[in-house]
Amino acid sequence: MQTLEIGLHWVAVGLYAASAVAFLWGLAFRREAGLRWGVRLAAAGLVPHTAALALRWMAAGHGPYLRRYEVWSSNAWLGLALFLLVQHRHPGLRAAGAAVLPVSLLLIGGAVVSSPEIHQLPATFKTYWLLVHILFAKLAYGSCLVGTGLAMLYLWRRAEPEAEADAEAASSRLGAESVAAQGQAGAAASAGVPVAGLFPRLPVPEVLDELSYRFLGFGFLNIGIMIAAGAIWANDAWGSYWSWDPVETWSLVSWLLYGLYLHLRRTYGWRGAPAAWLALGAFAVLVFALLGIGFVYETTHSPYLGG
Amino acid sequence: MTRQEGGEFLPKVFPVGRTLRRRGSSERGCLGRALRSAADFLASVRLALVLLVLLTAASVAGVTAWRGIFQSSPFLLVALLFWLNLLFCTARQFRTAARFWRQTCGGPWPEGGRRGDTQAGSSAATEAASGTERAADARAPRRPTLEAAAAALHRRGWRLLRREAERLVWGKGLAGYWGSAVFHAGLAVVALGGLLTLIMRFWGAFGLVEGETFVDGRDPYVVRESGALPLHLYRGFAVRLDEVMLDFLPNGELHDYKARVVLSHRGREVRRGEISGPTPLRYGLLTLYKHRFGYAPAFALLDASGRELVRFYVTLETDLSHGNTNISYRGDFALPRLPYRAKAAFYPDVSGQELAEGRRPRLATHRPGFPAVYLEVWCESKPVWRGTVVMGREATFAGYRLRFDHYVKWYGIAAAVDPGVPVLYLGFLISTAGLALLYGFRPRLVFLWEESGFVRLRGTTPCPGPLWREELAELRRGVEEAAGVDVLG
Repeated sequence: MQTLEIGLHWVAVGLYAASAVAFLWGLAFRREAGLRWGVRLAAAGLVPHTAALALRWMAAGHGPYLRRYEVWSSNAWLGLALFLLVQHRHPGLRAAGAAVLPVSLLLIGGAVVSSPEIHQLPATFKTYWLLVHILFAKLAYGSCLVGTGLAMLYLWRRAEPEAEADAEAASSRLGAESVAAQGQAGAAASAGVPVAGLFPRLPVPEVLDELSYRFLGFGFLNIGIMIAAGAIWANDAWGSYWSWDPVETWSLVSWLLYGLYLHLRRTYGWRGAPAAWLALGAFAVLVFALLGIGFVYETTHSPYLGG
Repeated sequence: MTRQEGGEFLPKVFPVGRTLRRRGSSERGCLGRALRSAADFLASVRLALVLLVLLTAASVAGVTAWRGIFQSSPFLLVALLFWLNLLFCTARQFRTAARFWRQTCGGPWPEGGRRGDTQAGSSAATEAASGTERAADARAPRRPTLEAAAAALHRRGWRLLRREAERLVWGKGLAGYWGSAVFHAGLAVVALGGLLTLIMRFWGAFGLVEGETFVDGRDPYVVRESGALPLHLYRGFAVRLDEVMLDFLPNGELHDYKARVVLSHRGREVRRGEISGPTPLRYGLLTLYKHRFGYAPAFALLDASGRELVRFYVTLETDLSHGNTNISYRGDFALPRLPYRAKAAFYPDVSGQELAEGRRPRLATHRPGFPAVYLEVWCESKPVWRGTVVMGREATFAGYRLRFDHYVKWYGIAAAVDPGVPVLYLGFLISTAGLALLYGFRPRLVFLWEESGFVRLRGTTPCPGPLWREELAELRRGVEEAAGVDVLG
C-alpha cells in the first residue's frame, strides 16, 4: 500500500514538474498554449496526488497533517487545487501558475524525500479545534499562495515594455465591445502563435493587483482563524493559550505583515509594485512559519512538522 | 489618496479609516483641545501602522536575538499603546459606520422625505417590474423610464434605500460596512483578555500519586507562575487523585495518560471527572490540566540487621519539553537518613532482557510488566553501588539494603485560574463575526436618476478598483437589457 502511495506521489511530482516547465515556457515565450498545457498537466498531476493522499489517510487513520511528508504534500495539494479552481473561473489568471507550480513542486518534492513513516496521532490532537486549526492553516497557505502568484504576475506584467499599451487595450475591453477583440486574440492564441502584446485573456495589471489584494485579504482572515483555533487548542491541551513559541510568533508576524498590507491599501491607497513586494515578503514569512520552522527551531510543533 | 468613482458628484459615503476632524474645535478650552489632540493622536491610522511595524519587529527580535523581549517594559508599553490605539480607532470606526448607516439606511430623511418612501419606492419598483414583464409579454415597446430601471435593479437583489430629490439610492451588502469596526472591536477585546492574563493569571503544577490529595495553600506547588495580581478565587481548593489510567499503543508506547480526580472547594465536592490530553477539568475559572505522568518506585531502606529504617517512594520525572512529554522516568534523590544520594531510572518491563551488572536495561515498553530500577548510589562524588534491581530484590551497599518493594503511578496536574481566557474567547468570537461581515458582505451603493431622457447609473464602494468598475459596467448592461432603457454612467 505504501509503495503504491509513494509511487503515486512520484507520478504527481513528474506531472507537476512538466506543468511548471510548460508554465515557465509559456510565460517566457508568450505562448498561450504553454499555459494551457501547464493547467492540463497540473490537473492531471492532481489525480495521482489526491489518490496518494487518500491512501495515506486510510493507512494512517488520520488526516495528512502529521510530519513533513504529510503536511507538505497536503499543502501542495490544497494550493494547487485552489489555483486550478481560480483559473477555471477566471481563465485569464492561469499565467499565475508560473509562480504557483514551481512553489508547489518544491513542496511536494520536499515531501517525497522526507520519511514516509506513519506516526500515530498524539492524544492532544483528538480535538475538533485541531481540525479547525489545520483547515485554516491550509486555506491560509493556499489563498496567500494564489494571491502572491498574482502579485508576482503583476510585477512581471509591469516590467514588460508592452504592458502599458496592453493595459490600455485591455481597459477598453472592460466594456461590451471586448468580446470580439478577445475572440480574435483567443483564436490566434489557440493556433499556437504568439499574440500581439501579452496573453489575450490576461487581465490588466490593475485587475491582477486587486485580485491579489482580495486573495491576500482572504488569507489574512484564514491566518487569524488559524491562530485563534490554535490558541484555544493550546489552552485546552497545556493550560496556556499563548507562549511566544516560535511557530506562534512567526505566524503572528505573518499576520501582522498582512495586516500592515491591508491597512496600507485600504487607508493609504497603496497599489501596484510596493504592495506586491510587501505581499511577497509576507508570503515568505508565512511559508517559513507554516513549513520551514522545523528546520530552525525546537518548538511545540517540531514533532509534528519534522521529517 | 483613495478615489471614489463618480468624482465630485457622489457624496463621500464610504469614508475610510482616517481621523475625522470635528467642527468647533476652536471653541473648546485649552484642556478640551489637548484632550482632542490626544484622542486624535490615539485614533490615527498612522500611529496604528507605526505600532504594527514596531510589534512585528519586536516579534521577530523575540524569536531571533532578544528572547526576553516579550516580558520587557518597552514591548509591554508598545502593546499597551497599540491597545489604546485599537480602542480609539474602533470607537471612531463605529461612529463613522453609524453615521453612514443613518445616512443610507435610516435616520431622518433629507429634503422632506419620509421613511415610508422606501416602501413606496420598493412597491413602485415592484409594480414597474411587473408592468415591464407584462409589457414584454405583449411585445410592446417599453417606455424608457427610471421606474423600469429601478425594477431591474430590484430584481437583481438591490435594495432601495432612499429617494433624494430626483435620485434613487440603492444598496447591497451594506452590513459589511460594520465589518471593520466589529473586527477591530474583537481585537480590542482579545488584547484586553491578554492584559487580564498578564496581570491576573495564576498557574501552578503539583504531583500526586494515586490516592493522595493536594490542598492549595497547604501543599507546595512544584512550579508556579503568577501575574502581578493573581486572582485567588479558589483559595484552598483540594484535588484528590483517584486513579491514573494509561492508554498504550500496540507497540508499547504510551498514547495518553488520564487521571480520575475529585475537586473540592470550601469543603464540598464540586467536580468529579477525568483529565486527559485534550480535555481539562473545569470549575468556573479554575481549570485542571494534564501536566505530567510517571511511575513512582517504592523502596524500603533496611540496616544490616534487616531492621526497616524507612519506606519511601520516588516520583521519577518525565521530561516535559516544548509542550511534549518525553517519558523517561529518571530522577535524582537523597536517601532518607543517610548521607547518600541516588540516581534512579525506572523500566516498566524488562522481561526478556539480559540484566548484566552495571549495564542499563532498555526502555522497551511503557506497559508495566516485570519492572526494574537501575540505581546508582553516590556518597559525595564517589559511587558506592550501581546496578539493576528488579521488584522484590535489594541493592546492598555500606551495610544498608535498599529494597525495591513495588511501584505506583503518579500524575502531574497544572491548576490555572485565568480570567483572561473567557474574555479572549469572546474577542475571538467578535473578531470572527467582524471578518465574516467584512468578507461576506461587500457594501455597494448605486445612484439612479434620469437626465435628458437617459437613465444614469453610478455607484461607489469602499476602495473602488477596476473590478468594481467592471461590475458597475456589467450592472448598467444588465439594467439596459432588462429594462429596455439606455443607461449611462
